[in-house]
Amino acid sequence: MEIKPKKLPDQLLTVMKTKNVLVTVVIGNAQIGSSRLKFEEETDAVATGKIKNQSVGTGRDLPGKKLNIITRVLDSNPRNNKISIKHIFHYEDGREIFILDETDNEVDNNMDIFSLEVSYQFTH
Amino acid sequence: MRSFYSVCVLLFCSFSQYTLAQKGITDIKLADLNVPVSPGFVLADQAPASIERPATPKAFAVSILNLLQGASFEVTPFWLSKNENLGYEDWIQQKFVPLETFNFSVATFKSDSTSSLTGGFRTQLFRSFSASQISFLKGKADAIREALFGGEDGTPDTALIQKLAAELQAMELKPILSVELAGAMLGSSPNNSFKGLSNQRSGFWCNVHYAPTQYRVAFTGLLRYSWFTSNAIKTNIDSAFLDYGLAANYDVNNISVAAELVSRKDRGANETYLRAAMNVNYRLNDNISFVAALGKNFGTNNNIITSLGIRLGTMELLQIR
Repeated sequence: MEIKPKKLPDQLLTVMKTKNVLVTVVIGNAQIGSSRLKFEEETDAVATGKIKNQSVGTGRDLPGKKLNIITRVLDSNPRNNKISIKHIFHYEDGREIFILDETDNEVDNNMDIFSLEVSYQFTH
Repeated sequence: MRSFYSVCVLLFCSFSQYTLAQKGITDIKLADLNVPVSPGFVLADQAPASIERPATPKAFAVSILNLLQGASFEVTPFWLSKNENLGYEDWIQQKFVPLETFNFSVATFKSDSTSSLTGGFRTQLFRSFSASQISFLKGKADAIREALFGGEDGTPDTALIQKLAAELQAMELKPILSVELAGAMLGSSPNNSFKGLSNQRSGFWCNVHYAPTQYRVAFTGLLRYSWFTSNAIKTNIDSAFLDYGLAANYDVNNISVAAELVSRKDRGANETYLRAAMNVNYRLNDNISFVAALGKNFGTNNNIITSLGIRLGTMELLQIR
C-alpha cells in the first residue's frame, strides 16, 4: 500500500461578502475517499470525512484566512487505478465560485492511496 | 453461506481455460460451466504469453494495433473514461450494470502455417445487494474514510485500511442475486494471414447466483452452449453441447448440505448425460468432520455414488464406498 502525495500551489478565490461559502468534495470512479478541511491558524479541523455542502464561513470573514484541504482516496476499485477529485466551492443557492478539477490522476496499484493537498486563500 | 462462496470463488479461479469442448463426458464439473474470467482466451488451444490491460483510450488503440503482430488484451471500456461523478455509494446501489461490467478480450496467435483470432465478452447483466449488505458496505466505506486520517498525526492507518478494504471487497463479490453472460468465438486460417479466417469454435455461458441473506441457503444455475463450426471437425459427434448445472447449498450450525446436478446434451450423438449428487458434512470441530455423499454419476455402469468418511484436517482418514 503506497501513498502517492500531490501538493498544488495555493489557490486564490474571490468571494462575495454577504454570502455563506460552502465546500463539496466529489470523489469519482467509485473510489472511497475522505477529506480534512482545516484553517491554517486553527488547531481543530472544520470537518473530516465525506464533505458535502460544508460551510466554511461567510465571505465577510474569510479574507485573510487560509483553508487547507487534504483529500485522500483509497484505490478500492479493482477495475482501474484512476483517481478523480473535485473541490467545489459554492454558495448556498448552488452558484459555483471555483472548481478544482483533479480528475486525471492515477495510482500504480490497487489499494494504493492518493493524497492531494491544496490551500485556498480568499479575497473580495 | 460464506463457505459456499469460498468454494464458488475457488472453483471459478481454478477453471481450466482449454477444456470447452475437449472434455470427456465424465470429466464435466460444475465449475467448468462458470462464466470464464477471460472468455476470449478460453477457446484457444494456447495461452497468451502476456495480456495487456489498457487503462486509457490511447493505450487501447495501441493494443488493437498490436493484434496484427500476435498479441492479446482485455478491457472494460466503461472504466477507460473518467466517471468523475460516480461515487462509491452510487456504484454499489446500481442494479443493472451490463455496460459498466462489459469486458471483452481478444487474442491473436500467428505461426508460419496458421493464424488464429479469438475474442469474447463477459458482462454482469444484473446484480443486487440486500439492504443489510448495502448497510455493511456503506459502514465499511465510512470506516475506511475515518481510517484515512486515523493514524498517528492524522496519517492513514494503513493496517486498518487494508483489513477494512479486504472485508469490503469480499462482500462486493457476493451480491444476493447476480446474472452473468459471456460469449466467445475462435477463427483460424491455414496460413500466416488473417485474411482467410473462418469460424471454428463458439461458446456461450450464462450463470445465475441467488443467495438470500435471511436464509443460509444459496442457489446457482449454470448454462453453457458450445459448438464447432469448422468443416473439418463438424463430423465429430462432439460438435455441439448444451451443458447445464444446478447447485444448492445449505449451512446451519456445523452441518452443511450441498446438492448438485450436471447435465450434458450431446446434440451430435443425440444423447443426454446426467450426474446428480448430494453431500452432507458435519463438522465436529475445526479439525474433524464427518462426510457422506450419495448420488448418480455419468454413464450407465458403476454409476452409483455412495461414500461415508471422516475427514481430519484436509485428509480423509476413513472412507467406506
